[in-house]
Amino acid sequence: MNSGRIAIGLVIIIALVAMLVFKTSTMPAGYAATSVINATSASVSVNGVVDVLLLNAPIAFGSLDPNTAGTAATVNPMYVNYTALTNVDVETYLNGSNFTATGSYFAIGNMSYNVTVSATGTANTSCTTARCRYTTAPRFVFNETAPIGVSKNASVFHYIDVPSGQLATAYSASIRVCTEQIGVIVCRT
Amino acid sequence: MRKSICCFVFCLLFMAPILAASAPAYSLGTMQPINVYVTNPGKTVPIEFYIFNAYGNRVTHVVISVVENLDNLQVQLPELKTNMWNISGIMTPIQEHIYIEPMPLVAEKPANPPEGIYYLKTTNVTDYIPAKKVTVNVTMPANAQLGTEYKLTLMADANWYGELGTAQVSQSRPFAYRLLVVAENYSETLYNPSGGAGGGWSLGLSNEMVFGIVIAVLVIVILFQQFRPKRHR
Repeated sequence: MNSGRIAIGLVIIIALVAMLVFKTSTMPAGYAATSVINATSASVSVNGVVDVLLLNAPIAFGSLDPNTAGTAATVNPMYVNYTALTNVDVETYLNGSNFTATGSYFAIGNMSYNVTVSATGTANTSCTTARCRYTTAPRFVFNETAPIGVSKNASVFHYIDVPSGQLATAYSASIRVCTEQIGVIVCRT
Repeated sequence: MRKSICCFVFCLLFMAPILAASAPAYSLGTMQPINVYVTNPGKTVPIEFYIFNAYGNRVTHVVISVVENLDNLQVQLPELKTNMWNISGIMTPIQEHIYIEPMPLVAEKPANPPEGIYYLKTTNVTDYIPAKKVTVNVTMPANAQLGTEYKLTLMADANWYGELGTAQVSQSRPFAYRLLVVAENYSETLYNPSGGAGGGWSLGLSNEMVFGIVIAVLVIVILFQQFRPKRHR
């Protein structure tokens, strides 16, 4: 019986000593162990530059008769030049507004285009293998990797159909070339 | 014959710059230095971007608009002005927030730069890009929750005038921003209910408590061994 009490007493003493040891070795809340190596991340951002030059704009077709189809612009193509200053990957969308004149109009869908891009760019294949028709909603036409020092060209060849029965007058429309850094996802809306 | 060919070549060389100058080149260059702003509730953030016309030969007229502002942040665009321009002898009123004339790259910053012109550096050229700065002030809600991220997208629409055509051409350039709301004053406290220094597994008990429980179990086992009835052989 005595040996049992001694064992109990020893266990309690060991427990008390161990609790004291643990208590002193525990780091107070809010402090980090000094042996931890703290890493501070260093970051730097390169300013994003997008520079686009349009050549052979505006787009002119001259005087046309009603009910003519596929007439090429008087100066083709319109160049979309991503200048050497551009340092981000970019993509370009095209859309347009209807042709209007006093008392008459016809849809922008009568104007069409096909495109070519540089070796490092990618185009909407619908608009390289055939002609895409302009829409009021933007359509992706091509993207280009960051030129960074070497400008790159894309070409847009324009054509027009004049519907029959159209009032003889001067019509005008507007074309929008929206270019954004890839990932911004605004031009398509 | 040779004389006439020389004359023709001379005329071509002489005329080339004039012809080149007459063909329009519509330039819209932009630099967006920052796309994430860290701000405080109720604060006004001056969002800035730059517009330049380095390779064009026509004045670029720019209108800025807000295209995405789902949280109805208070956005103050630069003043929209109606400027009267004399374009090839025709007085033309043009609404614009900002315009930028053709300004080619320069090798050095001028000692006395023109008012409102900034000289930008970029990674791929050694020259400076003359540019104008656009500042859009965005005021955060006073009750903005800390840690909330707001999104704002601006659009610069550029137009050119003076040429007639069936289809006028414009350029657009979006600028997407994220605005992160944080507390005005820095503070950092460990939030750890267990009170430990972290690391390892945890049941929400301190090391002392775990050790105490182990010891208690040991005591109970020993007591059980000591006081259990002994079997008599």
